[in-house]
Amino acid sequence: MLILKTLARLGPMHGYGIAQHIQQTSEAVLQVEEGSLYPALQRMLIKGWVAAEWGQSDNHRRARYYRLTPAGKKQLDVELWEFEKVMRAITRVIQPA
Amino acid sequence: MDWLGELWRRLLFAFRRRQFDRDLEEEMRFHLDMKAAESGAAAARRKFGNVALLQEDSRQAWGWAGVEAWAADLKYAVRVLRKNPGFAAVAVLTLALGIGASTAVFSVVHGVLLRPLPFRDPDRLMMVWEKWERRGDDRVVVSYQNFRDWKNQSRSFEHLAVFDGGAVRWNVGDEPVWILGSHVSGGFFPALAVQPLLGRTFVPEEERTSAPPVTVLSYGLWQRLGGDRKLVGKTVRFDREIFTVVGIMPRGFTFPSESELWFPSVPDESRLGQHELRVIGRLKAGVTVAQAQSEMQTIAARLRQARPKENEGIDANVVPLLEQTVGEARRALLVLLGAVGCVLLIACANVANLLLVRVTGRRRELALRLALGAGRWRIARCLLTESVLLALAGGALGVAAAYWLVRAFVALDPIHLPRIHEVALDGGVLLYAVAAAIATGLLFGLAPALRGSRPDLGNWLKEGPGSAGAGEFGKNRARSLLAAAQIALTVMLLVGAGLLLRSFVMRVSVPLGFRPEGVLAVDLPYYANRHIDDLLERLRALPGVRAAGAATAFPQDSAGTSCGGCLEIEGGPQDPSNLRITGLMVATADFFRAAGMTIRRGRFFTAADGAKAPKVAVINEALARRDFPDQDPIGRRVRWGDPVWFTVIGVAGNVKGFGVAGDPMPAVYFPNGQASWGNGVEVLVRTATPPLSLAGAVRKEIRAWNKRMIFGKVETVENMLAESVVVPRFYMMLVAGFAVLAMVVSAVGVYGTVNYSVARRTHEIGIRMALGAKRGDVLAMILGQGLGLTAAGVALGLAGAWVVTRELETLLFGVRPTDGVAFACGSGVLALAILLACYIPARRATRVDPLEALRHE
Repeated sequence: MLILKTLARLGPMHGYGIAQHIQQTSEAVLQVEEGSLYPALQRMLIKGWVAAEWGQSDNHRRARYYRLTPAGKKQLDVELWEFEKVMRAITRVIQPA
Repeated sequence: MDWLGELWRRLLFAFRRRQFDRDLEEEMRFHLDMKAAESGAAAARRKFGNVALLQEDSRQAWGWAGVEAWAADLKYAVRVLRKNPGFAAVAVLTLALGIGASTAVFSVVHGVLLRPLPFRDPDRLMMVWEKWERRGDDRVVVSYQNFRDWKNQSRSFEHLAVFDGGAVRWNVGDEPVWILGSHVSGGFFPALAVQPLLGRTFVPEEERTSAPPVTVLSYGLWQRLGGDRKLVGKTVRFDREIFTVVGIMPRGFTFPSESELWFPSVPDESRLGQHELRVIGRLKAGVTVAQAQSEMQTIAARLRQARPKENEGIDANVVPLLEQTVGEARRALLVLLGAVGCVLLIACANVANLLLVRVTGRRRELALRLALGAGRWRIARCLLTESVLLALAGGALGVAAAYWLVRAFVALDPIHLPRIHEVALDGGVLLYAVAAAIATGLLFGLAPALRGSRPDLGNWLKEGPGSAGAGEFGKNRARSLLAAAQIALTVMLLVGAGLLLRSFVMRVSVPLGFRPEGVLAVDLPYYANRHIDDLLERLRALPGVRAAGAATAFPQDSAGTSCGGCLEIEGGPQDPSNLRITGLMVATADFFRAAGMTIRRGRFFTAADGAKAPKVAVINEALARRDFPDQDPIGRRVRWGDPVWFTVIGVAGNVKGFGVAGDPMPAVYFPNGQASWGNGVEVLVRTATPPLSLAGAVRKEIRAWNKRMIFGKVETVENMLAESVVVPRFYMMLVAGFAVLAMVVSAVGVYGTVNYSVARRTHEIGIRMALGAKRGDVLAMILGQGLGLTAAGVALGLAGAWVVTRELETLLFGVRPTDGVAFACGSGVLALAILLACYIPARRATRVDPLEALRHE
């Protein structure tokens, strides 16, 4: 979900960029092994949620850019909706009455 | 749709995996480099995680890991089999035999029995017959009168139509031929739901005597006539008959019985009561066969009351067209399928046994692999892959063999199977072959796989390479079970083959009552009787001809015409129920001599028994026995629908063809000068020289006598007799062939197992002999084990045969399905073969040199 959301917000982005973005926006709360991003991206490629193509990075190196597909956008909506449902539920539970 | 895209992407990946690996690596390097630039190489790597592991993870995401492991299994299996070419060859050949034979038989069964008829909704097509209780015949051709009433009164059928045979003459070259077709009534084409390719089918106005003659051509005949599309609407001429072509049927439509053209059926007012038509109908949607049957029976009951004279004892019988077409072939084909299934199972058992032996030999290897961390499932899968690979190789070889077998079988069509031209090795059959191969592979691979993967690790590893496993043969339950099952199946096949063989011998050793050797026969059309004496005179004048005669039926066939209650005996009992069915034969004077028949009392006809002479008749023994018990029939008088009486002058010995149990039909012969000829004219020529050398001369003589007549092949009677038993002989030979095949496969299997066990017990035998065992003792020990197995297998097989041979009953002649001789011979032959298979390795065991055997360790 985080990856999809990032791609939705930034547009096409390479793996490193995605990792950076997640870390910065979460203010380094969400720290994962950065490498585990790649197997996840592969799974999304298979599902057809993202598409990839090679392009030039900012520092003129070849980098693989991932881009959200329409199917990915739909999936993101589904996941966000589910997430919000859970969030609302949790919030209601922990809210002081 | 999602999964489709996913599958596509996965497939794409499979072909581009090298590029994928490169991409992933570059991507990760890019990430690491960027990170390194920011926070140093070491930190970057720490933060990123294990590169190799992540790459592996990514690859796994694409999900081909399972397939890859399987490919590795396959590669390994190929390697193992290539290292044991002998074992692989034996296994593949055995399986090829089993799968090939069963595929060939299945393709015939599929084409003939299973494939739907080539019409729309063929399940709803029915034949409707009259059922004559008193004759015990449930498929009698129908009278037009009854058909008309059936059609008017029944509600079960969408269409109901009659058809019967017809033919036109075609003069091609020197020999004119008949082109066979059918007369069909209005509902015929709609019932079969076929549309003409060109033009139309018949309209009701054409079903009248006054209508100009029209015809519909088959695609094949149309092509032979030039294939011109403009032929529709024009006339064609066949000899003296001229027809207007109104339509052409599509390619492949030749119903019924290979018709080449069709004519409208015109009801003949003078023959309304004659039982001579076939009835076909299409059931209305939702009407079952049983419902139609009961409706037709109700109508038949009504007709019995309405017209008691014509319809006494006549019921109706609805038979699905497929059942009608396939008929008797069904049971025989199913028996063959069963037999060939046995062969396949035996082949399976054999290969399973071989594999079990090999697994035992590979214990160390398997134990090592298990010890190194291979899972049980992985080992089992490995072994199963091996066996499925064997089965597929065998299957491929078998299918290739089956392909040629089936093509040859269809081309030769040795037993005139219905629908033979629909038999082919097509997709359905191939599917069967592949399924059979995989199923057999799993079946015979299962036992070894289970065994191989349930290891006794410690002990297996401890064994040295090729160390002795004591008491292998006796103790190994799985293998003994397989061997016994194999023997049991083979016994069943052998008993079945024995039954068919005995039945065949009984069939052809029926006393014929005439001498078929040195006799030529030819079938002439009905009208040939008018000047038949001229022809016979010409034939007698040929050098080498001893006698020439003609009659309405060949001696080996039952009488040409038969009738219940037609024969009257002067002063004899009345037969109001028409139950005394008698055959009628008209014969020339020389017929009895040409056929080599015997006379029991009195005399045969002579040339003097002509039109003006006193009326005479000859009866056969069966008639004498039935109608003149304990009396002398000579001098008594009989008649057949004539006002005058015929005096019985002789009693001829019974004559019959192969496969007729007991007496033939009681029959009466009238001389051709005194009675009107009923059926076709069958000519017999007894020769002094080998008969076929005269066939050409006989043919020429007939042609010289009548230039226009179309007649059949000039053949030897012996040949015709052989042809009459070709079907039972074919099934007998095939089942016998399968049985012998099964016996050889089983014997080889037992030989292999015993041989292996002896080889592994060399050490033990050596010790026994060193301790004083005699050669005889060793021989007895090994044979004893084989014997026990054989006894168990044979007992099981006999019990199985007892149950199964009942299915053969309708195929047997003169033998009961529990015939003791067949049972004894079947099991005896097999026991001998198995003992031989045990004896050879057992003898080798007795030659073990104790010193050698012990030093071997």
